[in-house]
Amino acid sequence: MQGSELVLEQVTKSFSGAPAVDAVSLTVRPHEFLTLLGPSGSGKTTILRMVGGFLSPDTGRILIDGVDVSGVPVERRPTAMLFQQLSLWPHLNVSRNVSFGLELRHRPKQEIARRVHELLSVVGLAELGSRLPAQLSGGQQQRVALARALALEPRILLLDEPFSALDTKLRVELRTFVRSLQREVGTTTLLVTHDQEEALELSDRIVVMRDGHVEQVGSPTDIYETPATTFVAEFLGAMNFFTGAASGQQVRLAGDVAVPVDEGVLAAGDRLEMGVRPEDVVLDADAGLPARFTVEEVTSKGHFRALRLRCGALDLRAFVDKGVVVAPGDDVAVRFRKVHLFGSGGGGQVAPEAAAERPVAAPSAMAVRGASGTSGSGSRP
Amino acid sequence: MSVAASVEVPGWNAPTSRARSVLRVGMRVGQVVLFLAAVFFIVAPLGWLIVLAFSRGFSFPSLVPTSFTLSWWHTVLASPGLLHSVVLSVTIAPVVLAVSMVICLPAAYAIGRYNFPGKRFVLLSVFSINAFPRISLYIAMIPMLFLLNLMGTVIGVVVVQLIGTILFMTWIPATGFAAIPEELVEAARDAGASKVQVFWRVLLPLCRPSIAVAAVLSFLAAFDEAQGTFIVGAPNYLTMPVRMYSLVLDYPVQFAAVFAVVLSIPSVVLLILVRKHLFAGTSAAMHLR
Repeated sequence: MQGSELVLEQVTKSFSGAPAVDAVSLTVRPHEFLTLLGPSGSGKTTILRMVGGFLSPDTGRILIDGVDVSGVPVERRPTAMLFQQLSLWPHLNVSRNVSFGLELRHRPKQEIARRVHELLSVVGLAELGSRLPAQLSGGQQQRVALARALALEPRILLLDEPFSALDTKLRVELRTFVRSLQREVGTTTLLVTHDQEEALELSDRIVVMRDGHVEQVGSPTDIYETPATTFVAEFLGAMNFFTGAASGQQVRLAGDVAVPVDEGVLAAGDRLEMGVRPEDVVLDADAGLPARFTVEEVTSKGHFRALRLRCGALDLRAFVDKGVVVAPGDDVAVRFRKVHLFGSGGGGQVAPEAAAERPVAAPSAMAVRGASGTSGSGSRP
Repeated sequence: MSVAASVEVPGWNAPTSRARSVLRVGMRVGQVVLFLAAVFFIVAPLGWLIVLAFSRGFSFPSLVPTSFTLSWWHTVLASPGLLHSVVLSVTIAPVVLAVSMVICLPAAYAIGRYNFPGKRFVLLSVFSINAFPRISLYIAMIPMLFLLNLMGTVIGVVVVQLIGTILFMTWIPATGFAAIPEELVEAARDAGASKVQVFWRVLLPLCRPSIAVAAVLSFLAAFDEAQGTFIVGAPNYLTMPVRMYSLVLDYPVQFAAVFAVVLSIPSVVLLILVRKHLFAGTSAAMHLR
């Protein structure tokens, strides 16, 4: 069905002088499910609201199928928004909520009735057409809101953290539903969320945003496996960071721990930021680093165990299989299944909430990417 | 009366079954107390008034009238000028209500939905109308009404009665408009509604309960207004309350009782008319977060 292309060209928006979105360019392909992921204040919602027409960009253009819609008012945009808050009109019953937009378009009564029934069936609420929104659960209300958005036959569907007001079980259920529905209907979809799990599960591609600019664009796998910056690395999943210096095929960390890396492009003496995902830390007595780590803390996380390891100044988090037997005080040898190297160029600070485990503040610019060993298939946090 | 018992309190953690039954009994008791209070303070005086209007002799020690009569009604209904008063009252009050809505509702909408410079000042001045004895305001208005040639005219009476409605018609709907979440407006815009359509299809229906309440209070304020109406309208335009004041002083109390009963009729009719809006609206409003 609908599958339109959405293009943002150098879109900028400031609020009272402070740029919320800073010259962002972006292309959402037809039929694509694209997620804007970032912490609050990263500009993701501002972008969504500009696409929907609730805000207008200061500069730059927004094109839908090649047509500039920047000056088109909300009510005439070919977009439909699913809001974060439950936003059904409380004085209209479920059917009237869904038919609202169709009535405004003066569609014939029979067609409206047929379409409303069709849409309510799609979201599994065909029986509840005469209920008032207050008589529905939160999940049902959001389904009705989805039907209402789809009734407009939007070319671009905008989802503004639509699952955040729901409890965990409903959230997972509804987003699975939305994903399969989107695949079926094929509407180009733009989702805003700060929930990495949601982004990884739903998206064809993820745009990681920070301070009003795009930090990285890529498929969920790309972004998780090869984060472009330390910010991305920390925002999606967990990551241990160490500062070190390159020396030949090795990176020397504090305490003279040397980590071997495959790539031969490292210039000796380069300052580096090395990242290791906790699930890429393997307890291995034979092929370990030339350093012993002491187990400081063992926490059961259900399907895996989280360890806190220490070697001198090095603090390391590891996620290991729940079958691994370790206790605080044990000395273990570790191997890194995969390491990520980030150049020590910029000086940007990483968002504090994600930086809890980090021994030092990380530079933001990416220079070198490195990996050793096999690409890990370890469990994600 | 069972409505109150089934209301669910949002954010209320489900209590244990014992606590729940205690709660239920408590609510039942509360209902009964409320009901008795309503009977004692509202129904009983009205009933007494009606009985009084038909009684010949009815004074303190006896709890029921000693004998009944229709003579007070004959006297009241036959009194010269009564019909004129009734016609005046039942025409002026609705006109005042309509004018008040036309003037105050747009203001209420602006106050409720927008921020503008001087908003606090507007609210404060609207409030201050009711914060002082009304009589001084009327007296202060007299020179102005003379200047505008409105003393002793129907328009003058309408103007003076309007004053008592402004607070209700502005303040109550303004809070109603303000309570409507912005998402509901945005969702309507998103669905293709223009700003005007949003007003008529979303904001106004959701504000209906507040407007209904304001309309009832405003109507009664205008309908019952006697001081200002007397100052401005006498001797040509004596509405029912104005006439009643003079009767209370000159005739037996039964005479005033008859008048009071007659005076209550429009209020009762109005309440019956807007009842649907009040209650339909309240339930819709409660669904708002």
